[in-house]
Amino acid sequence: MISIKLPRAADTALLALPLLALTALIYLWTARPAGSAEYAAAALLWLIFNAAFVLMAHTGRTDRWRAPVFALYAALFAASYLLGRADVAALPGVNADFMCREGLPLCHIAAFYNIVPAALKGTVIWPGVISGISTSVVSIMLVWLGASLVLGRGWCSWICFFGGFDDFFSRLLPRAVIQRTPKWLTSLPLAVLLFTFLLSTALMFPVYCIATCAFKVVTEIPAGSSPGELVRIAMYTSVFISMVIVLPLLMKRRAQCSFLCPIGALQAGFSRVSPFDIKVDRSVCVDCGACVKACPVLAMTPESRAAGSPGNSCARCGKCLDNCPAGAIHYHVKGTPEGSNPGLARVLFLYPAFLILAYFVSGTCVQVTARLLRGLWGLL
Amino acid sequence: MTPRVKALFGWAWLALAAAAGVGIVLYSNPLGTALAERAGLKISPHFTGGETAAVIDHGAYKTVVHRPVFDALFWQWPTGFVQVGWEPAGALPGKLREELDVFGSGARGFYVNLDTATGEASYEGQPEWVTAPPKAERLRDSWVIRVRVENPKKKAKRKGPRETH
Repeated sequence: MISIKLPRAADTALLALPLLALTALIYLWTARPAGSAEYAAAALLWLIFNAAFVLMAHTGRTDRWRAPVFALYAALFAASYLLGRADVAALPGVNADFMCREGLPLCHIAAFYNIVPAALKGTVIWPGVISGISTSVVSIMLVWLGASLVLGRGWCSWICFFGGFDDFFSRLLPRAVIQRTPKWLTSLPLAVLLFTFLLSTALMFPVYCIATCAFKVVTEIPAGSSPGELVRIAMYTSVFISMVIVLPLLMKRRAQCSFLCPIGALQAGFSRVSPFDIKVDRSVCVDCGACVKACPVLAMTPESRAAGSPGNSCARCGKCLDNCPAGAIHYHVKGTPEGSNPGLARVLFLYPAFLILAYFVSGTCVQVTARLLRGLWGLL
Repeated sequence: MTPRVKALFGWAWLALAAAAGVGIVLYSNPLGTALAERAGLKISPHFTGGETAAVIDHGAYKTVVHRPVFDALFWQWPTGFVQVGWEPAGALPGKLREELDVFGSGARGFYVNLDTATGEASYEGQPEWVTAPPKAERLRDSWVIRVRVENPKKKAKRKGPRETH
């Protein structure tokens, strides 16, 4: 069995070089740079995201380097959506909201609600492009299913381009103002999932996306040209401020992901299939509670720690690993002996996570960064 | 199952899931196109307005009447809409007045007025089965109105047999 010990410069290079090469290929393949701005954007993002991996490999810390690039990733996606939205609104004589309905990019939350209507009636309940581009309905469905197969709920901490928002806000205050969280709150996403899934399937309309989604504020906020739209704007904004900004700030938890997001509940199901999980080595654990305090999605509890695993709601962010003073927590390949080679398991998790992340970053993020660079260049 | 066999399954599943998962992600576009074609997927008529039922040629411009949309998963809604569009937007007269036969049943006397400069729209001779005043929307190269209507089948069921639309 290969033994990987971190941190060591040679090990770091050995670990990182294949990933650097593979992600470079993905960037060249997916980004297909059209000009110097695209080349510069691709190079810049490749450097930033791979630097995070190199630092993870070198320092042995995961969440510390994941968090900043995850926030950047969310910000770039939001910029991409909002600039696209502004482009539509700027077209002469065009009702932006109606226009948006003709080719709206799909996100993974909406993808889920499309599966049953697509399977039963061949109908997509989303006003986007069906296939052929990376944000098309079927492509996003496949990307989400493929990534979830490997990462399980790790999707929420590595790939979800909305997760970076509450992840970011949950880190800003030094300590939590709200210390206790009612346990039933963590069951809410499942209730939201079941309710909105049944309603969306019955009505053939993406109910969650139209009625509740917090991220409309940073993606496709309506123009406000009718009383109905004004009500929706008020609703989206209040959900965004409360669930994505205020509660994560006060609780130091990812409140939107833990208490509202239906996909978060679904990803916990995928975690059963995923080949990875997180294990607590009870023989090393000193029961200090640092992991319970740090866990942003409330997966690590005193009970789950005692049982040796945070369970399926764990988002595999690595925060508990970074915060464990005894080094008792580690990534694990299911079925293999616990603690036999935690470094290898971690690297085997990080590789697909970074490869899938590279796919997303090399598309939308490169395009929007190129646009921002052009704007910056114009200003200078 | 011995720990050794269990570990073997664990590694095998990891290899399979990682290869399949990353492969699906990287090839999602071609895979998605093939899948969409095979499944014959189409966007919900609630967004597209439904398939075109009739096109009336006026020379410089044309009127496109879509099929009535009452679609739900396994049933029909008691109310829905018929989308009517005029295109190309640049060739439309400033004030447009057209008789609408939204169900294609030969019904007469129902008119829509559309001011293409302001987007204001109104009905004349509005039948009882039209449920809401018109709201015109400007698209890329057309104007459209969704005529909100009662579902004739549902109405017939509720009120018994009668002459409809």
